[in-house]
Amino acid sequence: MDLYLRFLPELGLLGLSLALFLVTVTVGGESDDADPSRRNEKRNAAAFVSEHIGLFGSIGVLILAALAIWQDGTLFFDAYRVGLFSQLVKIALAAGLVGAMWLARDARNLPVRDRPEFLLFMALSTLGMMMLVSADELISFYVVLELSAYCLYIMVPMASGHGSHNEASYKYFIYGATTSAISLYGMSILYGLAGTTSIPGIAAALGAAPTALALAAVVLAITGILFKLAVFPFHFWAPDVYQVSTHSAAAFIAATSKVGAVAALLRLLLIGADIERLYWVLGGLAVLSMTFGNLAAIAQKDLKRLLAYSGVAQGGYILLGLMGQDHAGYTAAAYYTAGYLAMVLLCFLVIVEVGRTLPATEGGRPSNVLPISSLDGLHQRSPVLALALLVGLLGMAGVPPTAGFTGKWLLFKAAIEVDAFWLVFIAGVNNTIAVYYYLIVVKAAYVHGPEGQPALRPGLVAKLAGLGVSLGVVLLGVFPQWVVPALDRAMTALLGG
Amino acid sequence: MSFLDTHLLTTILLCPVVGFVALCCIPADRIRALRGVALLSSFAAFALSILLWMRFDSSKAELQFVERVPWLPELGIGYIVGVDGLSLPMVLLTGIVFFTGVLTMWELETRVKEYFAFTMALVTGVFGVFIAQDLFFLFLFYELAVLPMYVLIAVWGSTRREYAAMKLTLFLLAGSALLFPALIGLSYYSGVDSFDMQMLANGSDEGWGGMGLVLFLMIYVGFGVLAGIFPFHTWSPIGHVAAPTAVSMLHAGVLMKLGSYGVLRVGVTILPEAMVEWAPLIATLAVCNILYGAFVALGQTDLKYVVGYSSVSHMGIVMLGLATMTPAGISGAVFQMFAHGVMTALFFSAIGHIYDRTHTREISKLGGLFHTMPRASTMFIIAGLAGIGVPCLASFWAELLVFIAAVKTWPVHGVLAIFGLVVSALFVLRVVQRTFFGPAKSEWKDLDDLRPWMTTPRLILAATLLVFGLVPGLMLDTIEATVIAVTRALGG
Repeated sequence: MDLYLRFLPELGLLGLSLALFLVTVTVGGESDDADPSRRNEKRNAAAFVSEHIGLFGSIGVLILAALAIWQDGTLFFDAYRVGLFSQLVKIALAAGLVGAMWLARDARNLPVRDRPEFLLFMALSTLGMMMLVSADELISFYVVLELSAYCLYIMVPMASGHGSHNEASYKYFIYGATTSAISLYGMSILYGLAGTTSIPGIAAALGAAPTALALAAVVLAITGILFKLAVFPFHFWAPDVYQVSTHSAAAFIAATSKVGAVAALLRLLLIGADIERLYWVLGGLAVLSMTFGNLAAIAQKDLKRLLAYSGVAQGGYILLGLMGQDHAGYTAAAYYTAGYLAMVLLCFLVIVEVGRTLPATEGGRPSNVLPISSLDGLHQRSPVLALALLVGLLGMAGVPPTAGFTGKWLLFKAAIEVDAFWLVFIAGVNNTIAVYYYLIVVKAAYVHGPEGQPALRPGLVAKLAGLGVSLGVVLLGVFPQWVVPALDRAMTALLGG
Repeated sequence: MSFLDTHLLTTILLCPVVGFVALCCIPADRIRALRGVALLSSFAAFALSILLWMRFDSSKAELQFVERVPWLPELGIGYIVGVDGLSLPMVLLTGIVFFTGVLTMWELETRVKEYFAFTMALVTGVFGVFIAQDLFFLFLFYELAVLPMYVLIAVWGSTRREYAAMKLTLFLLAGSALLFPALIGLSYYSGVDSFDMQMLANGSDEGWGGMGLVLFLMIYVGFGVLAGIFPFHTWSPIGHVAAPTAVSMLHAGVLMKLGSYGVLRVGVTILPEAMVEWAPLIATLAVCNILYGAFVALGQTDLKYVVGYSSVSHMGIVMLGLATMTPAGISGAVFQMFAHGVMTALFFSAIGHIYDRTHTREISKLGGLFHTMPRASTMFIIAGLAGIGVPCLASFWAELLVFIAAVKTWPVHGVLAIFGLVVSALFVLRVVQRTFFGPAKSEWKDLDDLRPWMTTPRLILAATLLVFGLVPGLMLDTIEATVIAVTRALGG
């Protein structure tokens, strides 16, 4: 019974995936119906059913994850560790999945035929991430990392079948496969050094002998995750993938999968806890990533590309918290990531709603490209969405009273406490650069008039979601004491155990 | 009343917050309701800040009305608010400018809801900075005060508004880039491991070493950008020009004070030794402000630019007062922050009316306005006289104290600063003469003057200048005890 309780969220998600799979092979299967209108009808029915299963199923998974929060212990011959840290991350992942599922409903820029499969891959990828944060053994770690990654590789080209889409999906796949090969190489060295594949075992072995080879092995091993986090120089896929994939796929990659990546990185870095020089590697990557991401974002005309580069920069801020590999930094990184999840979802809520109004291109579907100018006059077209966008963007820019500001304060404090004062100074300068491009988007939404833009009619749920998540971001920022102690305890369990 | 006694500061802080929430709930087309809410919220804040002033015990140097709520004790963050002689005048100033600013914008028609909502957010930040005694909350409120300016100027502004708004925001946030590490560094390098500013000030007597100097410089420049210190002042005049009337009032009247207040509160009280080391630099830059601002103002043709550059000059007087490190100088600086805030608010309030009627601010096109708008003109002239330090107005005492202290501590700087005052007399009189006197121009014959109702906010501001000018003891007694404690730490 204990086993099922500890595995509850994953089991729920597995059930959801199975249900979606059944829809794809039954109702949504390749129809041999000769009559095109009947075929369309069947496809629409399949899309409708799977969207509802996906949304309500993921809400169910969220509830299960919340129920399983106090579970603690190991499973599967100590290969799978369940604790407060992993359970909190699973709640965040489930919440991210709910958000992405909801954004994916009625995705007009996705062929109807593909929608059930699209949702199936989304659920499976989340399953991979959930298992990633609990995997306590390198082989299972690698397997679930690939499970989550391959699902994402498939989601990107689903948006359409030609042109730049293919370029982005090839880029994504080839970069991803290469970095995971590098990871695997690093893991094999780790095994060679430690003689075990268990993460705590390796950490103990490396702690006894933190050699240069051990440093190299750890750096190689985390490459695959840095790729998922889109940290410079592993970020080249991000702008293209964000731009051409459907809005909901981009939201999923930008929000939910980043949470999974940060959590996996936290766990994998435990291996290198005693390697001091890792500090310089992570600090260097942090500075490069935020500087490059912010500078590149300035030039963007497309909102999703801009968010992709801003995501590169945000990855840098998060690394700033990880570089000291201490309790305070990990807590700050976890807090910041939770806030970031909500802020990205807010931005994508607006992107999805605005995206619905864009004119259709060839193939009868609206384009996946979303120029910043399409936000013009948003304050008049939909004040609620404009507010959601404002909170999301200013949150990422680190403006109070949002979680972004408080998160940066915690990250910077943690970094200064490990003697990275000047890195924090660079991060502060970067923050100023970032405000410039976020304000350009704010300017489109708040300063420009709505002339020539189509009307927006967000549904009631969209409005409530926008207001609710915005309020959440603000409350999280003003009252960090509601979550930080829990994260603190989770990190104590993670670092102590 | 007992609740008010213990939570007066939080109540003041909540006035604009409640106003913001209420504004968000009212539909955008109910303009009268929106205005009513804004007026109510600003009046409540105004009245409560007067109440605070009356209940303040000016014989004590320490913080009063202190509230402490642990926030994140693990990380040394606490919600701590309190006022002493340095912050009390600023709270009152914010109350006055907030209330009169809302009254001044009474006739606004476009996007009323958003305008007042962003103003509320801005004022929340300003009140917060002046009462916060914890670095985390101080910085939170500080950043909160900066960002709404962008939207307020870019949407409701005039001349080159988008450019000015972006420049202003980036300049101020570049200052924040220095403040972010510096404020966290204060807690780390002091070894106190808390963001409680009083603990930092008490526990930082030794052990700063070279880092204290670096941190002070970062704090001075970071906050100084907002105070318009030379050469980081360039955002300020164009920001004034682009902003709508009440935003100019808040911007010059209150927002720039956040900068000088920050230098005083965080820099001087926590790092007094470093202040002593850097004082020559601060004094020199302050004199640059005074002279440069005055000379550039002399050459301006736009009324708002004149006042904008005169603000640069007057903020120099504040910084010069701080740099003297004597009780008289710092009292003068605090008094000048208050007086200058009220005075520029009055300036911009009067200009706002003139611009609304004539649609120009070019001094050469205006002329003889006194004949058609005697009330608006009188207000401008009162502000102008305050600016050049005419006795019986609040600025006189402030400037007098600063100059006396400056001549003693920094004789060369002091004499140059007094020369700057002569130049500012020149440009103010020139503007007054060309804009308001002389023959009445035919195109301005049919314009209306301020209506009695719209005179109210200007009257409040003018009366404030006059009251504190006639009874300077009101202000100086309040400041004195705290200033003496501060200068003792400076070795004065």
